[in-house]
Amino acid sequence: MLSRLRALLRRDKFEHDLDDELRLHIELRAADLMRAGHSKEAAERQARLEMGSRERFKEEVRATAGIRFFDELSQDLRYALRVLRQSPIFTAVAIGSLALGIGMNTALFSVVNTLLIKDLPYRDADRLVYVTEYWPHEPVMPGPPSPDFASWRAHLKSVDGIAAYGGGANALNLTGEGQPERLQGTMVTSQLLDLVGCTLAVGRNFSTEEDQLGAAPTVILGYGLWQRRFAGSPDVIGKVIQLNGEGRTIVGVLPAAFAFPDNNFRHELLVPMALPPNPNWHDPEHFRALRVLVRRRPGVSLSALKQDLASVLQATAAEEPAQMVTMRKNMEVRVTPLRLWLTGNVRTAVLVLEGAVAMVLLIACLNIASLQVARAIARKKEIAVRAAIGASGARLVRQLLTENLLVCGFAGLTGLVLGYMSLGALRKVLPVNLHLADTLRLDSSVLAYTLGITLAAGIVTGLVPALAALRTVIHDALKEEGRSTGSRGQHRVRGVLIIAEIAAAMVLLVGSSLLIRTFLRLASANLGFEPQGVLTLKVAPSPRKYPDAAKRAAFCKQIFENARTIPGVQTAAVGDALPLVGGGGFAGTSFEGLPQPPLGGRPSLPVAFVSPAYFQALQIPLLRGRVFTESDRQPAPLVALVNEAFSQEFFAGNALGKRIEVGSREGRWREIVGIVGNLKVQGRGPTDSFLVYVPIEESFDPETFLILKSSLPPSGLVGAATKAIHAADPAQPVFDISSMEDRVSDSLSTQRANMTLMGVFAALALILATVGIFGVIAYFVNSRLQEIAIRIALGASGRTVVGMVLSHGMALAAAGIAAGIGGALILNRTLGSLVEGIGTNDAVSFVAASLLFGAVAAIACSIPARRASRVDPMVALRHG
Amino acid sequence: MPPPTELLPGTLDLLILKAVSLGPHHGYGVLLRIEQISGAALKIEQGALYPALHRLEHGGLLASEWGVSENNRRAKFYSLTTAGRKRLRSERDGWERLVVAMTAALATRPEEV
Repeated sequence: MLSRLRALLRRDKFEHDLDDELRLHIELRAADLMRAGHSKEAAERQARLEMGSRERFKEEVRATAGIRFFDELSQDLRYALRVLRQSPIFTAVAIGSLALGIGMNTALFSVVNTLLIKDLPYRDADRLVYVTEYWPHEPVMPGPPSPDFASWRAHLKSVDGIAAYGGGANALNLTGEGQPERLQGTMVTSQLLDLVGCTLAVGRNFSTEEDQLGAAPTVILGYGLWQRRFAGSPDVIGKVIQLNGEGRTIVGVLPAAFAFPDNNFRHELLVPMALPPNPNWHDPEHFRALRVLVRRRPGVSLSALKQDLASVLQATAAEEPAQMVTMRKNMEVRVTPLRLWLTGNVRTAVLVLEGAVAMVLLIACLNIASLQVARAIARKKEIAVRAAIGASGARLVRQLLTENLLVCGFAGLTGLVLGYMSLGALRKVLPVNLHLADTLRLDSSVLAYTLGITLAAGIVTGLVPALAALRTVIHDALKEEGRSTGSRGQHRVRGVLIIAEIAAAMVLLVGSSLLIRTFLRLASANLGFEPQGVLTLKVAPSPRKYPDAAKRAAFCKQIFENARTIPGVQTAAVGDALPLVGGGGFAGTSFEGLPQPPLGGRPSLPVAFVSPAYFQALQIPLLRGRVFTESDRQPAPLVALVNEAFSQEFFAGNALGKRIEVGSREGRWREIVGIVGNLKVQGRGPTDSFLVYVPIEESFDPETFLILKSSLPPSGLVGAATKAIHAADPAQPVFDISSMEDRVSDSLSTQRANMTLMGVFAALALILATVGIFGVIAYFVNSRLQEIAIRIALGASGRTVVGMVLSHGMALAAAGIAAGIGGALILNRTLGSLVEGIGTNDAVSFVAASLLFGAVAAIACSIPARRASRVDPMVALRHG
Repeated sequence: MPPPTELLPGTLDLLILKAVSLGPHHGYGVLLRIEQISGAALKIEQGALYPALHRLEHGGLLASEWGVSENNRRAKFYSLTTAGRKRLRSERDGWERLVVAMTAALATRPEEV
């Protein structure tokens, strides 16, 4: 190959030399002839004649020099271009459908590459492991408690790094210069940034001293905040900013590219966690539920790490108070590698979608292969002539392959462009809440993948038909009269190809109709509340300004009174929890009349703190009893509302009038005065089957939603609502503003994205398969024109002819549909991971997909069928 | 002079090697030399000569060098390489064996069988 290449590069010189050599020969010969007595002209002519065709020499000489390969290649290419130009429709369809297939595969592969293959953008990411705890009796425990973290930090042997973050409310009010702003920050231990290998843009990481209880407050700014509030000035280091009314010194700024991929990790700003030196179980103020990240030492297995984590805790278990022992009975430490942690929930979805686009590409390839088989037969004569004048079989196959590789080359380029363009859309539509999605790009491995599938497509679409055509063509083409119908073998090849195509498209159709059905079911489900016309805004009175529940309650009441007077507002309410969003808290609950369980043994149940109008604003139905009233505040008796599920679970449906104690253990019994309907938000957001409602005045949660029900569009109320809040406290940031309808819509974004992508893929597959059926049937009609003409001449009606063609096409379609149903049943479990609540054997989906396909196939067949029925027997027989 | 004989297949290479072994030649020189040493009994198909020369060169049996011809033109002169010399020897031995065998075979009379 190398010498061939050299020969090619030397080619000009080579030609030149050869010309010189041959010219010399002719001159010398002519001179000899002249000496023998010929005239000059006669001698030259004679010399030339003897030499014969110079070109033929050259050709042979070139062949020995290894140049022929490239000559033939360029010949093949020129020829292929000519052939492709001659059938522009075929070429356009082929390039277009392959480009779509390749483009979607490229885009999807870049997602797979980013999420599942490429190195994560953190140092030693392969050794980073998340540590969580599972408490069977407290399944809502949000993370390992700080004492466990402290024990691990002191005693773990199998890790060379450990850090924690999270551990409490992470929103802070920035006040001082400019608009007050609510910022999302995270508490971190000083080791975290080093653990993930983050180098700060400006300044430095927290020192160990700054991460200690009682240290002077410090903060690290996120890049965005730094740019927005401080214009990216490096002078911010050392400056003091007011956060929640407390001065904090800026020590560093995170780099722009820093994206810690956990959704719970907000990096507008970081503050030191400042755990006490020995966090212990008896210090509730510094008790935190953490997110813990460790780096395994090289060579330590996950199970060894898990063992180490568990045995450290066993060694310190004696320090645990009795209540923790009860709550943590049968506790399990769980370890999850970082990548799995980040991608666990989207992994399957991405792989299923990747499978779907691979199928679309396969269909496109089969389509073109089938068209090529048909064309190869139509080109029988041409191929046979080329074979007869000396083209070898290999040369002919190479020619056909060159054609297909050329088509695929164009398609690959177009596909790359399409893939690149769809990256942006994919980034938005992907069910990925990860920052990782921002790093999607077409890098070298994606390009290599595209090249690979392009070549594979070229070979699949070219080699199969080329070999099939060659086999028959060379043997019988010249014997026939060029009105051949193709051998039975080729009909079979095309039949199998088209059935495979329909089957693949059917699998996608069934999958997508399952997703559509899931989506429709979720979208139309009764949520247990009415989102229409509801605007929600969040405020978070800072604990310094509003240190106790009474102050906060007064502030909330003020807001709520202001908001009530906004024109168009029918109902105004406040509450610390929202359906689909969550919020509220958990509290240990006792039931009057039952023996009091030991400390920590009470069930921890979700509690929402709400104002009386909350139920009216969200239209959560009151089933029995009454809702809260303005007079339900101390010193009036304590009251609570519960939902239907709570009533069923703990009081067999008769909760009304019973008494429970929520949170405290001091005999502060509260009467259940009403039972309200359940929220039905399974699969769409935080779900609490049981729910206790307590008057907002007792809330200890600083974050509160203002809920406005109005007959006007909610977006029109934002300004007035913000004003109502600022009228109560102008330094109060308002955030998380959204209509309830938008929240409902957001809650379905994953399902919507899956449905949309799968729907697009299935639609493409359907279109491609339809083109395939159309092509095969049209070819079938063309190749049988004579037979059809004879039938018509002998008296067959148009209807009979249409029936004949249709039955041929529909038989293929039926076989494909049947195969597709089989395939979908086999792929059942994979599809099952994408759909919720609808069995994957959902008959409606299967029937709908089959009917749709049958109808489309019938239309695709009917066009050539109608043409067949209009065949003029005389014309067909004369020219057929 | 009897009409020139057509070459047996495969003998052209041997003749070229032989011609070149007598001294470097350009293509036309090789042609003349073959005619000369065969007493004009062998007719070289001109169209076969140059591909054969290039093939032998490509195979490393001939080396070439650009020089100036007798009529002052740029000319490519071929000479024998060591490999070419070896090949010439072995081909000649083979040819001689063949000739002996063919002669013996063709001289055979019926009673000798």
